[in-house]
Amino acid sequence: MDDLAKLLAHGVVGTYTHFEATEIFMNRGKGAPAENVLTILVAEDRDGEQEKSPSYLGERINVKGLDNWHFGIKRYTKRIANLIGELTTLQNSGLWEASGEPLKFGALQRVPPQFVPPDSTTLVPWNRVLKSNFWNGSHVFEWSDRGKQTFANLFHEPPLLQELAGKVMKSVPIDLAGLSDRLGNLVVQFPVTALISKFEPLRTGQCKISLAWHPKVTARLLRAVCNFDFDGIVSGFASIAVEKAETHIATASGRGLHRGFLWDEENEVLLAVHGPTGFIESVSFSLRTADIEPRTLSYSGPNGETRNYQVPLSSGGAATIVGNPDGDDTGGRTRKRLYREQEELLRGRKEFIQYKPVDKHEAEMRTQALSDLRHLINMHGQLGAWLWDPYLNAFDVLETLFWSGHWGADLRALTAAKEPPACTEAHENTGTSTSKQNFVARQRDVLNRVQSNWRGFKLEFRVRRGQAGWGFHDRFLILPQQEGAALAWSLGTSVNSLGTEHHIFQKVDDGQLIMNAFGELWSKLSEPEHLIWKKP
Amino acid sequence: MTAETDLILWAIAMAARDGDLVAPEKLLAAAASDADPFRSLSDLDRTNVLFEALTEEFGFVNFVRASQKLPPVEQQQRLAGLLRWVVRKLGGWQKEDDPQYRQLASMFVITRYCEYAGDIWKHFPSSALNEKLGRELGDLLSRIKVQIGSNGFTHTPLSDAEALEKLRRADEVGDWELLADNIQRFDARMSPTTFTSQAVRYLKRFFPHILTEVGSSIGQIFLAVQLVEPLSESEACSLALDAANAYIEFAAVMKCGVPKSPLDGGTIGADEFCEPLSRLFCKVADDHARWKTWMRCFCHHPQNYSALAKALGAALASASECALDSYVDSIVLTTMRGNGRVIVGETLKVFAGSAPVERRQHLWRRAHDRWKTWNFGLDQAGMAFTQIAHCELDYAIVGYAIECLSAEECQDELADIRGKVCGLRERWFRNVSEFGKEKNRLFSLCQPYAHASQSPSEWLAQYDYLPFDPKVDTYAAAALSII
Repeated sequence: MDDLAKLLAHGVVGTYTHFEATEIFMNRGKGAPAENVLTILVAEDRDGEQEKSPSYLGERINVKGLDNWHFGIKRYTKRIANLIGELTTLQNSGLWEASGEPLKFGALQRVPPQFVPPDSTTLVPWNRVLKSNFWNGSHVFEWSDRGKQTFANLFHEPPLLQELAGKVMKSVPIDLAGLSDRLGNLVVQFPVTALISKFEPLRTGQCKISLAWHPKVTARLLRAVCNFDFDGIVSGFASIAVEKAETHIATASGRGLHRGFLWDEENEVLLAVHGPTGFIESVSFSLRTADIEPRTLSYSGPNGETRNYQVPLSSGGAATIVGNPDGDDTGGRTRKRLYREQEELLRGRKEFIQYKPVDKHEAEMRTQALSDLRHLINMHGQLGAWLWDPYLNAFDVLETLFWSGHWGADLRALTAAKEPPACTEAHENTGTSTSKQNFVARQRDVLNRVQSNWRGFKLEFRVRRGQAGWGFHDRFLILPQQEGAALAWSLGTSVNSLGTEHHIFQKVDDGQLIMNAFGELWSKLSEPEHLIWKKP
Repeated sequence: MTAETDLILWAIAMAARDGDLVAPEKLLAAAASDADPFRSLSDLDRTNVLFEALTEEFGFVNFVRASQKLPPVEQQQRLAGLLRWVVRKLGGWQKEDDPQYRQLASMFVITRYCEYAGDIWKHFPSSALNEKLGRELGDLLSRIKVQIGSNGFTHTPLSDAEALEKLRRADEVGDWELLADNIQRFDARMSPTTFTSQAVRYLKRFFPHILTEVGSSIGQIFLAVQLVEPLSESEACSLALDAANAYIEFAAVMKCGVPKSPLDGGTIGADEFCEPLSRLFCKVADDHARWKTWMRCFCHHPQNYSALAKALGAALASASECALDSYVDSIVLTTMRGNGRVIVGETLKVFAGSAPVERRQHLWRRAHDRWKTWNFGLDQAGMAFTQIAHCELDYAIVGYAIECLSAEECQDELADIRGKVCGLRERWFRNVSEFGKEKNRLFSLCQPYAHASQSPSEWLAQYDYLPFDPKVDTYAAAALSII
């Protein structure tokens, strides 16, 4: 406990007089003893205040699926002089009765001390449970329940933990689900309050360090360290003794993210960590104006009913970049490489929408699926939206691409003129050929009958015929992007059956590959016989 | 005074004396060949044909406007002769002699043409007075029905049609709030026709009682707007008071309230129409339901009708407590530091200068209660709060601190806020944004009390106060400036 005792000394890290305890506990059954879920003790300056008796925050918490389990939150304050004694008792005997009532812990092991900086461009997970760690950072001591046997249910059923975390958040801003690896632990937080420091990297290559000492603390000499790192290299570093309210330290004006440290050499303790943070080199923005006049659309549906819609439109110029768009010294190439590498790291996360129509809800699911598709088109389809589906027909195009609200977006539809068995049978029965020529004529007829003011509308509908290109089976929605790779979703089924049978919209990892494949096939289908319909 | 104004006023003065009459031959010929010159005066394109005919003979007036040089004496005499002809014709006009209003139309084209010199009718001699003409004009105005619709040249037919239909329905059902919010969008396109403007000005000059009769019969807001537009703001208010017609009253207030130029940045209000407008407000304030609607129309966003500020303040000074409540409750509160704060401040300054202390205290208390409940709008999801906020009711809150609290009570409020600021670091916030929000909320709460404690001569603070001295308490300044 010597390291802890050092921090308790007046003025070293703070001017602590009390600790505030927040105990999140559970009772696994009526009359069962209280067991620790997470306890956090925060050292504070509450000079002149009496100790606060324990009180409960919020109502008793129940979680569905954890029958007979009850959770609660208790808070109290005690004088800081009691802290080491209470922790020693816990460490030696596993007993914790700081509130006056016993709280049961698992087998605890002391974790090496940690320093948790405030959030910057990087969010620090610890800050989801620490108290208001917004300034210099906090020293954290932790006793960890490594087994966590009592929390097996919560780990195996994440929704239960989410529900518990949500209910706890209503009473105290501790996100249990955000740091679930700390369940069962006891945490002691020493926020650095002896001074407030600020590190401001300047464009001149210097860093300005500002200090404001607590009125109860005598100022002393500290050491400040600043560094920049970028792409695995140290692009700037400097160290200087600081004493005054404001000091400038010369670092190289290198690229990358900046970190600042304040070290107290006299007491051998860290007093501040700032960053990583960096300059905003460029800002990209685009202005899109909402057009008050919508696109009108009127057509006969498959059952002959008239459908009338108005599609709101927006239009605008290309993105404007203010500042230096490169972000590195290699004309932007390093940034692009870093971007790709970062993308690979993030590839574990997929977009996923599943449709499971239950009897009598097919219509609702279809409406939902079409709504989701239109949402994707309007969310990401500023440059264009391409539908690739062997069974795609004119009605499908009317229900989807026609709903793009982006003025002048490049809308493309590619079909293989395949038709569902029922449709084929119907046409055979009427004596019409199911050849592609017949299909093309029917689609043209449907689209030529559409009544619209065609505002901002640009679409081309092609069909693969003969030996040109190659056959295809999968269904994709492709959304070209201005910067970076295209986005693409696998639809899982044809547009004509979206929502009516089980399928999954899934965002494709590398939409650019899909877009390249589509583009290659599209360019091979450029003869007149491949064109079904085009506007304008 | 411009050269053109000098010329026209001189010509009118000459018209009152004997001399040659100069008939506008080409204009009369154009009117003769027009199937319905009276209707033409209500159609911009058709009116232009008549104006073009006039300028063929008397276009030198345009040159005077451009060059600011008087024309040769001969042309000046021709203009005087033309106006002499108008005066004579007006004085002797009878419907029996001019059943299709061709002469009347010609006269109105001429007077409209000369109107770049301002309202020329008030300079017309009394020999232009003609009771038969007055009656006929009153009758014609009363029978006008305005139909609004697209002119067919718009690039946005659907949205225009929707907006116009909305306005039409609003007029039919008397949705004053929607009218107040939307009618300004079409303001420029609702200018009165040549006939309406000249008829109204003629009646105002010679037969104000007939104009009042016309005003009292109006049942359409668009017509009411066209009727008051040719008048000055004072005249519009006087007409509204005399006619006692809801549409005319509303149109008159709209006319007074709209800033005349975007560059005005919220004109506080010309003093010349403050008195009649204030009387109009006082009259409507007696009708609680109507007053409440008017407050929502004209005070919702004070900068939209900024020129009403002083007159409204004067009226509030004698209004009932219920009327004061309606005023306070109608204002949309924002933290955006916009011009609305200044405009409301001007209103309340006039109010405070005239109202007795009990009435002032009532309004201050009502405003203070609303301000506390509003809580800077922080109850709305997603509200950001990144700086000290001021709001439209600031003047009233300072009034509350000065006239409803004692000095000790005001200091107690400040001390309470300071204590909460000091206690910020003991509270647990979800993230630094929540901390900043609460910090700025407390700083914003402190503003009116801090300003009031300075015993200011001007109740609207021009700068921010901090609950501590950052030069003395550098630690607190550093701790609280993180966001």
